[in-house]
Amino acid sequence: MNFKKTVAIVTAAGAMAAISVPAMALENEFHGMYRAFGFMTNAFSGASGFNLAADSATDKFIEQRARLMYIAKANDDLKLVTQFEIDTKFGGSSSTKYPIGDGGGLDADRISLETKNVYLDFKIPLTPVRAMVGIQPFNDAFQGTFGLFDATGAVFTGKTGDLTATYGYFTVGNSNTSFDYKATPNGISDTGTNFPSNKGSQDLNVIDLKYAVNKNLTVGTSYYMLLDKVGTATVANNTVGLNAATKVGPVDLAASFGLQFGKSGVTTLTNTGTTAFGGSVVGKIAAGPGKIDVSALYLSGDKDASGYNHAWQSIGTGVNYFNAANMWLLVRNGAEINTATQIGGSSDITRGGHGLMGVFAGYEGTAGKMFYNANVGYARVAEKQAASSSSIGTELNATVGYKLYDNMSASFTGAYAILGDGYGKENVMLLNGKNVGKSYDNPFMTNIALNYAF
Amino acid sequence: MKKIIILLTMLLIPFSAVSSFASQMRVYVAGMSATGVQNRDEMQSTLQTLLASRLNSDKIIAVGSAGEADIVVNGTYVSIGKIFSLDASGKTTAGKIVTRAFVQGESQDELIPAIGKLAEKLSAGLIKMYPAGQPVAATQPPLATIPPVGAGSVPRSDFIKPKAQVTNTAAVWLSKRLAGAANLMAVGKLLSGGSREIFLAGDRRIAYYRQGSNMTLVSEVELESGYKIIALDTMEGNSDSVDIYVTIVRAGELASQVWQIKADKLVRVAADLPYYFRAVSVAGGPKKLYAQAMGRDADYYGDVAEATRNGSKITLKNPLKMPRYGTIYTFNQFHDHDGKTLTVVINPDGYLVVYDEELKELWRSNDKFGGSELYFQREDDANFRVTGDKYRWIFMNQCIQVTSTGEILIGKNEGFWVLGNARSYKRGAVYCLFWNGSSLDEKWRTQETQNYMPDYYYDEARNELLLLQTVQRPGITANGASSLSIRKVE
Repeated sequence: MNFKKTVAIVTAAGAMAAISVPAMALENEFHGMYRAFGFMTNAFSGASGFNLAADSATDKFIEQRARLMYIAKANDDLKLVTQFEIDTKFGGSSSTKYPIGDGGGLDADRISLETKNVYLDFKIPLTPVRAMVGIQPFNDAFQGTFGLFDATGAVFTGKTGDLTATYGYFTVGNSNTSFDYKATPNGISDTGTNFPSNKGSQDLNVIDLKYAVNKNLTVGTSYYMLLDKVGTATVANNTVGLNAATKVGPVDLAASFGLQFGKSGVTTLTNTGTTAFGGSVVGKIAAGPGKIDVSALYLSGDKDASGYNHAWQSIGTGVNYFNAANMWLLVRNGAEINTATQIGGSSDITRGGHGLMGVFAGYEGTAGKMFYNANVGYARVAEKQAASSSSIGTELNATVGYKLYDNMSASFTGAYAILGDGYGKENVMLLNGKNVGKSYDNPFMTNIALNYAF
Repeated sequence: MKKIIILLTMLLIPFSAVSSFASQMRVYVAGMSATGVQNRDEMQSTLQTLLASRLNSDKIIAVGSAGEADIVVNGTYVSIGKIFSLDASGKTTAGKIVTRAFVQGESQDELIPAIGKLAEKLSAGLIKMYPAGQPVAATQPPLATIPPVGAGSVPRSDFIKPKAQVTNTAAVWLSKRLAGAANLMAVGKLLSGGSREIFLAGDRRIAYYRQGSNMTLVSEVELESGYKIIALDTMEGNSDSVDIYVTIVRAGELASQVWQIKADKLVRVAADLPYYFRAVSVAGGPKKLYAQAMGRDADYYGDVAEATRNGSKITLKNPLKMPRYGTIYTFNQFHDHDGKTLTVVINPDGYLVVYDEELKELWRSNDKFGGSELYFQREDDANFRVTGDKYRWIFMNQCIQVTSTGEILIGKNEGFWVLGNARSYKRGAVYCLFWNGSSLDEKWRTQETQNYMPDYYYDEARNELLLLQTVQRPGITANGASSLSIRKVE
């Protein structure tokens, strides 16, 4: 075959390929958010964790978070999703993620752009399966108590009729980050994102099935398997669960229950097994110009932080939530940005293996462009271990806000916690086992928030 | 040879028969709206049947669907006291009115003879217009006669056609500034004196206007705080009143209501209905009420079904399977030239997608349509940490209307700021498209409005297009304002 013929064939093949590829009209889609909090509180300062103290001083600080999401959408079945985040404390702050400081200092020129999501979202041709590959968000079927996080992985979701099936695989880290469950005093970890596992890579396999029985009832089941390398062996931490959501009259109910077994991935207790469980119920009842929110949560704890483990295992301490509580001080709030406002400063909802029991109630409503909510909650750990009391405390909080525009609002929030004996009294406390000889002051927090999401 | 002649003669007989059938004009009586009578539904179907049978002649054959017809007849029956009037017009499938006729009577005894007279007048007009019996050009304009509208062409009428044929700016009716920014519009009954009922809805406000030479506010109500109106539809009930279906979302769940006009006041007759509602002419057929449910996870759950109401009880029947992106508010249907029912859907990106009877995609537009600033929200705890927003935003869209002649109407808004959930449109227009067998071609479109166009409605009986515009957006201290313009479609 001579050169001209080859060129002609290649050109023709290229032309045919160009014709046969469906028309691709690239859509540029942008989303984003900006949120700023101006805090005044006697318990935290935005950088140094949560400081319960006797005779605590009031501090104030401002922080902000911006997120920018860009989606390159080739067609209905193919898009690249990217999202970036910029956190700033007014005046500047250095941290693990911003070692030389964020952009809040004088002249602002610091490197503070974080990657949040980068993944490809596409439908596998000729199948009903959608695939998402890359750094992507994941939310568990347990109201976020197992894990609500961004991670690298591949998730495949198929829908047929009223059944939705999901399989996901994530590499969530390497246990060289060495969370030492036993070595952490009383299980309260103040900083860092830790993994309940041993050395080696950690892989999370996720299977979620959800079936819409009818318009008022959805049921689901889940199986999550966290695989850890322990020396030359691979151990598994298994979570199986059931969940359901229903509507009965004006009441929306969602419930989930999870059972954990296998190895808990404790560094020095590789032979120790785990049996733990957690459950939650969330109810929303339309009433008046808004709705009543009620919820309850139980996560099992370990009695002695040694031997066989009974504490609910979240996949990481920085990535668990229970947003339905609508708390700020007892349980971290879903609207939080750079600072964890939960008592103890830790974003570990299980308080390092103590587990958690909580009941929460509130009302939220609107009046024209004004919105408001008020909540009350009580929480205690499931197992007090060496502390003299399991009570964390009772929180009261309220928010009043105004929608300046459809996408932008300004609000004021106040939260006050009456510390329970587990934190507030002079005996052995839950927080790092300290005995300060004096009662801690009840923590309070106010914030003024600006919120813009598009 | 003789055998060959006989054979040829026999072969020609069927052709001559076909030719004879083809020379008849095919007329479809699409609908007869009835005003001022009891048992309205029954009356409408009776009038439709009577007129269709009386139009039948050696020159005209009445057919069973708009898809088969050369001419589509629409009419109205208005009764005031003892006097009644029958009015009808015949349109080509391209939408051009070719004849109009009316007959009056002074008692119900004269009704059936009057229908006969109306049929005679219509027949005469149609036969005069098309003595050959075949208005071929009306069924589908040949492609060669539809050059694309050049970007540089200066429209001289409200409807930009391939060739500007009519300057009808005088036909435009514009309301005064109407207090309150309305998101939705629905048309009610025709009233005596030529005025009609118009209902507008804002986020929580329902306003009842009477549109004659002026737009007069008759009554209005404001719903409780926490309610948001996301759809507004009217459906003529069995009594003389019109049911106003108000689809409402409250605390992330459907809590729809039905209102009626009683003594010029808006009166709620049903509440807390867990359905989305839409009254629409599917495939250009008679207007029917449709409903769809909301699921626990799915914003639109299950099939779209015909709905009937008995007090606060909603009964569903004849479910329609939806294709991808198809919801009660994003779909309609039309018939192609072979009589097949195709479904057209506007997808979330604003592209029109046409599906075949097996709900497989046939075609999608290259241009975007639709666009609405109206949305509702549902709590989305699962994605709160991802989006930073506690709520999921579900945007409504411009609804697709299909006329009895198979024309597809869709609104289109364009703006300088349409970014994620932040939407602010600047101007809108209504596009009329038709299915040419392989794709939707543009037939005409209105001139762009100078404002965001939240809703539109094509009143086929009057051949009028109603465009709702937001002349001032609501702000912190103001409720905004709207205006309504009405354009005659020629």
